[in-house]
Amino acid sequence: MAVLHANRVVACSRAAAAAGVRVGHRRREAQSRCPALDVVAHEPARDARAFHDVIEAVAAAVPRLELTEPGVLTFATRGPSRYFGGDAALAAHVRTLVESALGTALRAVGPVGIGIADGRFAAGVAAHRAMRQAAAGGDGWVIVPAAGSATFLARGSLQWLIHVGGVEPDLVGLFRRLGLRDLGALAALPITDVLARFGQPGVIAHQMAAAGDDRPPGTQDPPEGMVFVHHFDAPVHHLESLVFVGKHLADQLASALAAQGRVCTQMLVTAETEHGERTERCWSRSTGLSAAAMVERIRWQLDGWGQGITGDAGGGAVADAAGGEGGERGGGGEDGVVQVDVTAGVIQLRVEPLAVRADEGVQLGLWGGRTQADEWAQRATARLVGLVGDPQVVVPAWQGGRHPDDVYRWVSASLSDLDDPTGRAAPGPGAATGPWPGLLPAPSPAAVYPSAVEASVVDADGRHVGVSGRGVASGAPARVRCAGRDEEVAAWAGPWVVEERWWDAGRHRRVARYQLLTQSGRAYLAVLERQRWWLVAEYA
Amino acid sequence: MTSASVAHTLPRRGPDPDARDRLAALAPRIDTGSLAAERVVAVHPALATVLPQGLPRGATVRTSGRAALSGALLLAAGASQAGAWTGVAGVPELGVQAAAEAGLALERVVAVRDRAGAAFSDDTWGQVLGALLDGFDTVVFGAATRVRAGTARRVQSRLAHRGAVLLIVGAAGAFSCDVEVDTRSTWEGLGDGHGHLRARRVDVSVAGRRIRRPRQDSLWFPDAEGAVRRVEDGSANVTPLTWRQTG
Repeated sequence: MAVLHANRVVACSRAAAAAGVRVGHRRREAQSRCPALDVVAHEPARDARAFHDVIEAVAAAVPRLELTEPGVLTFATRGPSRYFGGDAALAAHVRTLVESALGTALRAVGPVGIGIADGRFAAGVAAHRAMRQAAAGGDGWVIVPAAGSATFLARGSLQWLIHVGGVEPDLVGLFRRLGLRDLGALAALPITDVLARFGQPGVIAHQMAAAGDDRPPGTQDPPEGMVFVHHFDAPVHHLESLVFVGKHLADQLASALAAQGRVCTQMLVTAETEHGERTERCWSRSTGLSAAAMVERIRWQLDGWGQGITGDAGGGAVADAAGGEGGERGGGGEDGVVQVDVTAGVIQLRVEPLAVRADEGVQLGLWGGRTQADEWAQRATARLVGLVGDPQVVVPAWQGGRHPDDVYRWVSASLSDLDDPTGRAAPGPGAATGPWPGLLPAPSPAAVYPSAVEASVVDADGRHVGVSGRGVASGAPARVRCAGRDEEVAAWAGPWVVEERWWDAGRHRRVARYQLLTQSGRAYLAVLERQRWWLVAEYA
Repeated sequence: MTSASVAHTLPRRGPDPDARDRLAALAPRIDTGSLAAERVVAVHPALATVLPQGLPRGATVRTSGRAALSGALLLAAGASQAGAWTGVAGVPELGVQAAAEAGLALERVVAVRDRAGAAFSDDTWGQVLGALLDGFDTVVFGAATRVRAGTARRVQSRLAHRGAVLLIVGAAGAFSCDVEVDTRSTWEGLGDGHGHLRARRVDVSVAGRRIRRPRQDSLWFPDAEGAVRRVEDGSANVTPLTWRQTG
């Protein structure tokens, strides 16, 4: 299994990796290495929901969890490790918690890795090593002795900076071209020289390599009183409404910090229901959280909190079922995995920065860039998502195909970056642009029915028009009957037979297509599939 | 400009035969910006004969006839090419490829559709249209019959205030239309068992209370090369495909 984003593999399962699939491969490249590859789209919200149980389980044992993204959990070990009797005991306990929370999903996601070290980066590297060891039969944790993290990292590859540290691949590539072979070599450079040559991003990478990133460089405590709270007049049950308010709070926070030239690197999001249930999560990102990134994290948190794992891909409502059920826990309806923690509507949402640092800023392009119209349209889109829900507001994305409804698909507007449409609405440079043999020439039908309309097409003698296995028609279409209309065919062409995915029994499709022009001037695209006629589109 | 030269260009007393022309030449230079020109949305060049002024902002435009949907897309295309965003609501059957062929910039298209089992209520449509008109310059709407009169009135007053253009496809329902665009289409290229749809001749007629006088014209939409252009008088129809014997 591999997860694809923008036609590139962003993650793959252990089995796929064994077949030679690597992160960064194109879809075709990955499929050529592993033809049976199961490809799924990248959807962070789904990951966040799935990860929610793990967070809950660990939160029961350890205070002050910190999240960067779904799949990675960081916490300070000093207190908990003393409580559980040492680092190894703590690691074993956490591993049991995570594994029991994952349950049957454990086999799919592979082993859990736990790393304990002096800094976040070193701990991340240790956790990845632990994961590999566990796959080879190890005990699943790597504990780096105190003050030994720099030595532990010294022989590590610079690649860790990209995968664990989130450093720009370009910068790491530059390090390598300059002759830095491993993290130890980078850490050995004088920090002043690194700052002079590579600026702030270089310093961050240097501190990671030197295991000195306990606190991201340059961060400070936020100014007093910078807490953004929204009290709802009436308890709110809908996720979308909550996220809409969350967006408002995030915008306020981001602009308040931006006015001081700062950016938030760690924030605390708290929501409380009428019955006093709370969710409190700390989100951090060393490169800084933009307003959009904050909203995304607020959504992950609230979605996971309200739903537990229901396997529902659409952004459902927080506590859909919980609203009227009083104290009874439940709802959701899935057996075994239900974990609805909320029994009432949310009355308070609070966003608070925990750490900020100076913003180096983003240089806007001289030409192009955002216009006022873009700004308004994006605001309106966010408002629409709040009004009618996530899956109902969509934007077109190119995917390629032979049928009119295949060439473009609709993707949820909140999941796509409206600022950067390149590569969404048009085939990207790396995409398989075709040729698509069998694609009907332009003009394309303006009305593509959401679901095909069954019709009956007969020849001059009133007999059903069929197409043989060799693509020979039994007669010329003379009349088309559909939805109570009976029209005479004035002109027609076809059959154009197309056979798709003949290698896959489940998705194999063989259709004959016709263009039919009726006496009244309507032009239809009709298909004959398994001897049944369907009108799929109208050239309206 | 020195005072001497000003005195020189000032008209002499008495009748000046060129005064009117010179004033006319100066008029555009002292123009403070035409309000009327800002209150319109640009349209596709092929529509210049039927909508010489463009679409008036704040107007409700209805397209009807065989090419109602593609006509609405063509009307939105002019603004879309100029950088405006297009909202689409209540048109679940929108063919994205056809929209691109009509000239819509797909990266600036956002569509709202109701769920198959749960159609939007009148109230929801009112809110959706309100939000769309706030953020988008042109809104293509295909479910006008599902909006009640009161909601339609509210939407239209917001539309006039905001200065967007509402393009209604098909029946207008309770909306009162400022511009009516009617289409009749004739397809070319399809024979009796051969050829394929290649070109369409669309007769467009534009009328309505915000149009000075009704106009009609014929367009190739599209012509055999996929372009949209006026049908010039005397130009031959698309040459039919020659029948070739094969095999």
